[in-house]
Amino acid sequence: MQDFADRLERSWNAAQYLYFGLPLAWLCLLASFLVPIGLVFVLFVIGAPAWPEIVLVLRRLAGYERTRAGTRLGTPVPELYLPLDGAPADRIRLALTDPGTWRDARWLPVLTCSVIGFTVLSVPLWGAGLVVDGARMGLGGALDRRRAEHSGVPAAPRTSLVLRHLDTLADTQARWSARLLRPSASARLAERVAELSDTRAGAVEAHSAELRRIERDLHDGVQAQLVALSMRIGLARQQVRADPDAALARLDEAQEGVEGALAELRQVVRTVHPPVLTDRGLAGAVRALAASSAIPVEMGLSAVESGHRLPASVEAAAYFAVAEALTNIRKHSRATRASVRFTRTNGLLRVTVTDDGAGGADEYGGSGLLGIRRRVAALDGTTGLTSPPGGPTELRVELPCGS
Amino acid sequence: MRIVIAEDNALLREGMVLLLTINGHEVVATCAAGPEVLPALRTHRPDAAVLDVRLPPTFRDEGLRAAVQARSELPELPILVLSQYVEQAYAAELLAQGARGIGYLLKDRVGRVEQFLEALERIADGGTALDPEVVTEIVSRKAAARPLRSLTPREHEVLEMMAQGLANAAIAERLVVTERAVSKHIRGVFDKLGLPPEGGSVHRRVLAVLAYLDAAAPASPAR
Repeated sequence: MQDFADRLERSWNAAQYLYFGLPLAWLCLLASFLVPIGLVFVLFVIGAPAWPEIVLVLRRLAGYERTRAGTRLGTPVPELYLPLDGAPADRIRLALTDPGTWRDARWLPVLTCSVIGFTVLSVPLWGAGLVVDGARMGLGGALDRRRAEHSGVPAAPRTSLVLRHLDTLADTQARWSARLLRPSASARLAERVAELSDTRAGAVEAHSAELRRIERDLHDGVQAQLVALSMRIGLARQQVRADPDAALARLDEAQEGVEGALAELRQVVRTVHPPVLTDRGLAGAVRALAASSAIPVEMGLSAVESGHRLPASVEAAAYFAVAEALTNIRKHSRATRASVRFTRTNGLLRVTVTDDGAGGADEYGGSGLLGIRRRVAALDGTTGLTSPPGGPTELRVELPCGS
Repeated sequence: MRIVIAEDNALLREGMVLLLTINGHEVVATCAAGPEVLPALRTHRPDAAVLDVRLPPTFRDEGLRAAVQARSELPELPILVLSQYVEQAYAAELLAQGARGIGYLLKDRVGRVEQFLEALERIADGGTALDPEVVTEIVSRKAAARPLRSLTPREHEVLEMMAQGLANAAIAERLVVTERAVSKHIRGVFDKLGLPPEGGSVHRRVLAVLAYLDAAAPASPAR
């Protein structure tokens, strides 16, 4: 009996899927008429502003079906439209040229026909299924079990002959919708190109901002200090015979100046590419970071420990992300412990930094995190921060690492 | 003293040879690359070695690796490691086999000739020299912990200098106070931190202080 009850439930779910599509099918039928009407409007320029609105209605309908079919099939159906922004004329043009519009228009009649047609088909299936499968699985199954009790050999479960075709109907309808509504390969490629242009522009911007910062640091800091230094040595030369004590004082000042310049230069170098990263790789460098942290840092570094080194840019981005996260934890979180984990799957390096602090970190609050976000985006990676009030705070960075 | 130098920058190398020779030391060998270091140390058995961290061929940390290897192979050999930058983690590696006759300083410190020579001699005598920058970093990350907060500013300075490996006389000289005053401060530090009263040598004291600083972390988290 249990087999049959399961079967009934599954078929009922499938049928429900079809029947809930019925209102959508009628709306799509109406919309099928709206599309030619809207095009006529565009032709007689006066009514053209209605066109983008019609397209938005189409998008709503298609969006609803995407979610529905995606749930049924267990794989989301991606959505891809040009945003209808700008002046009215632009919106009309975009609404006309977006391949998504024509994808949706083509799908409308298919949905109407498939949902209504399959709903009609489902009625005789229910009738025949309840009789045939009811006898086969319900009664036959009960007989099997009785026989099994006598012989001790468990009976093979009986399969459905008719009712399972309700599943087939629902799945077919969902698959047709998914296939028609899925953006084409070229559209997805176009989107990827747009995304890459964006992140590349971001990378170029971040890079030149970085160069400007380094230039300023060297120019106004180190170079100025060296000039002052040269001056003091020159003065010392002048004074050395007449007033050796004064010359000595100038030399002392000069030496302090050199030390200041060296310290500043070291600082600049650290922000460009930390030497420890060059020396020890990512695992060693993160260990050094953890060693200088005021709170205990738990580490999961095995993913970056063994095997070949990651690309230098990936290592640097991951290192700076961890450094920034640990700095923020120290400054703001009041945490008592933190953890840094690296995992590597399918050519993706994932860095997760968590703490047990107060939470409530603001993603866009600090410029530090924005810098990390840009740096990561430039490498085609993503940055995510969750920090509910009360904690815990978690920073996640994902970087493609090519292996 | 007979000294071996490993430094790849010719200008710095010559400068260092000049500095040491003028001050009455003998440079028995100079190395310009990582692989030359250990053979030179084995052959010459110098009184001290001065090693740069970054050396050819890889320009990573071969000087440091050579130092760590030399310490297990020639445990009696005093080594001073010089670097353009200091990492606390590197200091920990150098100190892993004890603090006897080991130094880890920023290259900048060479400019303070007297202090540099004093540090070198201290190391050659079995003492320790840790760069103030390393010590400051170690101390500052525990600075918020309760026992450290109870130190007076003077005691704080004394603690850092002990961790750098300075003996009482040297601390007294830098702080411009008497040695008796320094002893008093040291007793104060040891009392407040709950360390056993010092009786051992200066390099043992370094380890005791560093161990304390390291162990203070989990017990009293920074708030």
